[in-house]
Amino acid sequence: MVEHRPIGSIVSHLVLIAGVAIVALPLYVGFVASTLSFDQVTAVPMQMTPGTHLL
Amino acid sequence: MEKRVVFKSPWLPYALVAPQLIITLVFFFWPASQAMYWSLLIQDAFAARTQFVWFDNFRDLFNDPRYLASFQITAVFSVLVTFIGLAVALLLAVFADRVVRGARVYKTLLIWPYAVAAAVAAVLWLFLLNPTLGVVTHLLRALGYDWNYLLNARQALILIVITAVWKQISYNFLFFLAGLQSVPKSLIEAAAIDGAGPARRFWTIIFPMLSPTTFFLLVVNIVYAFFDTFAIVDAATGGGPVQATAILVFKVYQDGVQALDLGGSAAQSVVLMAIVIALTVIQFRFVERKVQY
Repeated sequence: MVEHRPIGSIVSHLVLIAGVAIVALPLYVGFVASTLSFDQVTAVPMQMTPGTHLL
Repeated sequence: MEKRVVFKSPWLPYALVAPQLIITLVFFFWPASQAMYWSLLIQDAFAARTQFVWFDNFRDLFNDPRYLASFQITAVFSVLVTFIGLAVALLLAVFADRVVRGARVYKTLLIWPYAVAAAVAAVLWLFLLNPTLGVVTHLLRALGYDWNYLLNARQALILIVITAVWKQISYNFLFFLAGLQSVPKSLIEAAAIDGAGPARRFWTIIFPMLSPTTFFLLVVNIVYAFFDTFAIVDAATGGGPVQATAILVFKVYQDGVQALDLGGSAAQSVVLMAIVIALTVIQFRFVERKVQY
């Protein structure tokens, strides 16, 4: 970046964080689902923290 | 003096290009010519009897309203996938190019989906958007929006567009980022000294200098939307509801492998091949002229 504007830098980080959140969300949910039991996966809503059934 | 390298041997140059030629012949020209030949035949479902019917398959296709509907779906789908995919990836690449702190973390996280197979990508999005179990569906319900892509044709199209775009963002992002990093810093600094703000610098300097990258990605993304999205459609919607997401390449599979209409399916793949060849020729003829290398 050529100028040093704190607001521009904050906006850049916000856009990137939003982009990463959208891009990584399906991967995260897929991973969490892989650590849950069948009953937990089919519960509505599914829990969003990893469980204990990974192995 | 002859500047080019000249092979004196009569056979060596042919031997050197032979591997590429043989691969092209065996894996492209042979299947393509078979498809063209089969598109002129009709078979019974067990391929026991075959009859030569000239262009009847093509005439049937273009009189079939469902096939014409599939054209429209494919057009909408590929325009949406290409445009949204390029726009989102360019936006993220521009901001990733600006930040200094944490840039590597952002880049790494944004490249992840490229390692996911298309069918798996569809399943991951089903976890979010399944009508009964989906996590996002639950949120949408709470907001009073009824999301059910199994019944709603438009929502089914939105689902496959989201999945196809998500899968392709990483690829576009990488190329845009590389393109942005090859824009000379001196030009941008000179424009900044002249008083041009970030938006003006982007549209008058960076975007035109990116045009070779954008053009390359345009061609790749259109071909991607036409062909590589088969697994997404198959895993996510299966062409439904009522053929609403049966894009051309999915219909080739449906009519050929599932319905065993081999001649009609071959005719569809010939039409599809002609469309993609035509699109690529048009892009190289007309769009490439606007590209500044």
